[in-house]
Amino acid sequence: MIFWMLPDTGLETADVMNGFLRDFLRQNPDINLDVQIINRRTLWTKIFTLKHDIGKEGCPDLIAFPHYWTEILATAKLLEPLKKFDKNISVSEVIDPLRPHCFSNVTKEIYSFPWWLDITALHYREDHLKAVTVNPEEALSTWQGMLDICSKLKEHFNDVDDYFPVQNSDWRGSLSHRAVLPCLWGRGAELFTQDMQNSGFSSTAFQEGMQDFIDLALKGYMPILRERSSIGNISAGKSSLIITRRQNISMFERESFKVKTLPIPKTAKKIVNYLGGTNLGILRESKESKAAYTLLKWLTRPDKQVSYASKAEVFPAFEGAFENFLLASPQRVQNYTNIIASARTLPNHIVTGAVMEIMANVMGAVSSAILMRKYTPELLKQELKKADRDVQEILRLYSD
Amino acid sequence: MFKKYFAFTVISMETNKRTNLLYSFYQALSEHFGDMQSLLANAMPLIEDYIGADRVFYYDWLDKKSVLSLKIMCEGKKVYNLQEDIFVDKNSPEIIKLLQDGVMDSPSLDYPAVYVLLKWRGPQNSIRTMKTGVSMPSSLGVFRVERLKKNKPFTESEKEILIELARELSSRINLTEVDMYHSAQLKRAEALNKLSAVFATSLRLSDSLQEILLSIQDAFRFDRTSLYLCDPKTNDIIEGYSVDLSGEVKTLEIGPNIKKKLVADASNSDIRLMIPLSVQGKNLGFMCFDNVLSRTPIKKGEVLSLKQFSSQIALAIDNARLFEKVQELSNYDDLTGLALRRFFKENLAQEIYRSKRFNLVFSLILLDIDYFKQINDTYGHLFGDEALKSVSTIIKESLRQTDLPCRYGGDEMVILLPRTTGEEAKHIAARLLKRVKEISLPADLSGGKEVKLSISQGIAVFPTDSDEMSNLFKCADDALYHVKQGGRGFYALYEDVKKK
Repeated sequence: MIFWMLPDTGLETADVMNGFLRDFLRQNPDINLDVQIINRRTLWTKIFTLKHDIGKEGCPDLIAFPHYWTEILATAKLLEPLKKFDKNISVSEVIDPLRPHCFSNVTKEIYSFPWWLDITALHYREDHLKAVTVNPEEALSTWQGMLDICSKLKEHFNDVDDYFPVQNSDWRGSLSHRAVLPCLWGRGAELFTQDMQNSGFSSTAFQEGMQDFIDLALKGYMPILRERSSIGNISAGKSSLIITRRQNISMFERESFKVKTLPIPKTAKKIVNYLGGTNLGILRESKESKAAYTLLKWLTRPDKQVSYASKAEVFPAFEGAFENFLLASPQRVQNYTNIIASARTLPNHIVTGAVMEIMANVMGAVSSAILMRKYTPELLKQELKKADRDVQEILRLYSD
Repeated sequence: MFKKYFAFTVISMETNKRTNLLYSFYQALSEHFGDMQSLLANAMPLIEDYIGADRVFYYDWLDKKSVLSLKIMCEGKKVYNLQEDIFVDKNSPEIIKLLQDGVMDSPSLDYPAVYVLLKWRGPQNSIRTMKTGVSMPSSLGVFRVERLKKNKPFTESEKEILIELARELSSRINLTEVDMYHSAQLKRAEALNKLSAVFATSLRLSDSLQEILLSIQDAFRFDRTSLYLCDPKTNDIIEGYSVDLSGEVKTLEIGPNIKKKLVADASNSDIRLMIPLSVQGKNLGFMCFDNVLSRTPIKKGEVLSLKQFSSQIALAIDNARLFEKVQELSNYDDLTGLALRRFFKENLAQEIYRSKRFNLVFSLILLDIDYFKQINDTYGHLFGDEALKSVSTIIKESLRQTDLPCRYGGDEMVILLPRTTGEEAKHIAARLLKRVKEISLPADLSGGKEVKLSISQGIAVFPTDSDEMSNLFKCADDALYHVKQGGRGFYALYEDVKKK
């Protein structure tokens, strides 16, 4: 059986997963499991060609994918409805915002099961922040406050080589198209109108939200498009803040300094945090579909969700497991109560994956322009205008 | 002398070692790799091993985006599929040096790391160069070797080896890309051959369109393939169909300015393509292909194949249209445009089957033009033909799309009215009679005399009168006979006639 998963724990994903699955393989000695790690971009490209190769050798039996891809995978007839394996299958345990992301909007059947989730948050080194402000929480409650803090930090750590106030958590090293979402939503902007008929890329609020996030790189507070290994991190004292969806609690607990967690600073109207998740689905015509379902059920067992969440610095996706996980650490409860209350997610719609690709392209173009010293707000406006046309076209074609 | 000999021996040993190493690299990569990923997955651990590196990264050089985009990474012989983009400024002194020398030290990493340039022509350029002999611009890539744990700098001699390895790898990448290009072309050619066979067997236009869309979608793997048909006379789009990743063929709504919009979308886009379909200068329509969801660029090879194949697609559509025209000619009467007897009977048989299966009712009206023989004899066949045409036009205009009128022979006509009761059929007959009586025929054909027309109609109902074809005709004929006996110019329902 082939299991395609995303690099949840970076380079260690294969090792972490192999260790994690040891029990499963002991309990199911007949299952021959091959875990293949595929990055999100490659997986996105592959789902469009996989459709034509379905059932052929080398095709995965089980895949892990971003929660908002369920609809497109079901529409492309890539996934098997899960009731085929269990007539009484239910997602009533799944936390509220992710529950609709298990279904196809057309057939109303369950096609995927959530495995884990993560939420954007701002983490900061208390010792660093205390050096530039008496009240970090207050200073970091607004986006402008955070930019001011970054300016002070940059000055304070002027003599530290390759110091950047904000550590870049984007895997590509670019401006993250997912981390920008709280800035957009905070400004009151939307990717599309609620009826999914029109793009929201051309609104002033959208441009302002983008600009908020871009400022981190534009003002030299966050490194972009550099060799990952050349970038210092919070632990090495080369950064003081990080915006990430991973909770990083176990990592920070090992350090001699204290790291505190806050919601994403308010850009304008409100605080909004982005909640994302990873779901599991079984490929149609999989010859190992029973084994794949056995693994799916095993991975989504509440106790396994909790244990994987600790390893991958994420959260369980089932209500009970989520609460237990949160309550097990007073630090987590303290950090995440407000963040969770203000979290929202992307819609499970056929166009969402493509729209996020368009966002990534905008961010890529902006990042290169910043480094070439060609960035202007007009350039952003032009990029958003182009993106708006593309999103509008996709919605026209696929949003009925 | 001894010193010189020793130095020579050391150099020879060094050279031998390097030659052996390069030969083993060459050998290891000489097998066929189906794609770049497998080639790199094999090459990276070898480079890591030969040069004593801790990690090796391979990046595609995306010139348009000014970034190096990570494709594969190898650590401890394990290969990873990760993402990383690094900004590259072609005007910076470091990059100029890399482009000139083929190697450079990492400007920002604080442990030994070296970038090595890979250059190859790529399939399109290789093929063009073969034809023209002119060397074309190269595709670029780099690999980065690191000694993160060992922290031992790379010597000049090691850098020379790395350049040689890069040269060999570049040539392998080129070969793999050319192979991939050819095998993709072959696959497309096979798919198109298969398509040609399909076209030859599916003559019905709707079948052909479906086959074209589904086969192209399967062979080329676009997100969406659409086909628009134009009216050959006006060039206006008259219908459109598309198939997307759901695999279902859908009818498209044709809005105003759609063509203009599609042309605008396709120009300057690497994810959309529009190809006109024409036969002998006749514009039949066009096909659109797009990857707007996956955002994957359409490959040049695909464009080429589709352009070459578009004439065959156009021919298939033209043939299907001709076939439909021929069918129309063989099924419909040339003078009146009404169905011919054979075609009518086929449809009636189907209607009987359907109505029996779903417990439905239908009616049959048998009619003829009153005193048609006298009209013909008095005013000539030209006038008679005109009378037939006028009555047929009235009949066609007065019926629903689902009804089927037929010229049964001479001036005798029959109408099939699906899902119509006897009472409803009587209403239709009354309407037809009224409209026929209003016909005014050209006076110049009747010597200036006004000739009024009328019709007699007999109605039979399925299944009340009969559930069998010939009996049903007999019932309608009996009713018609009754009308004629009663003085013509009216209609009668068999059931009513039977009661009398």
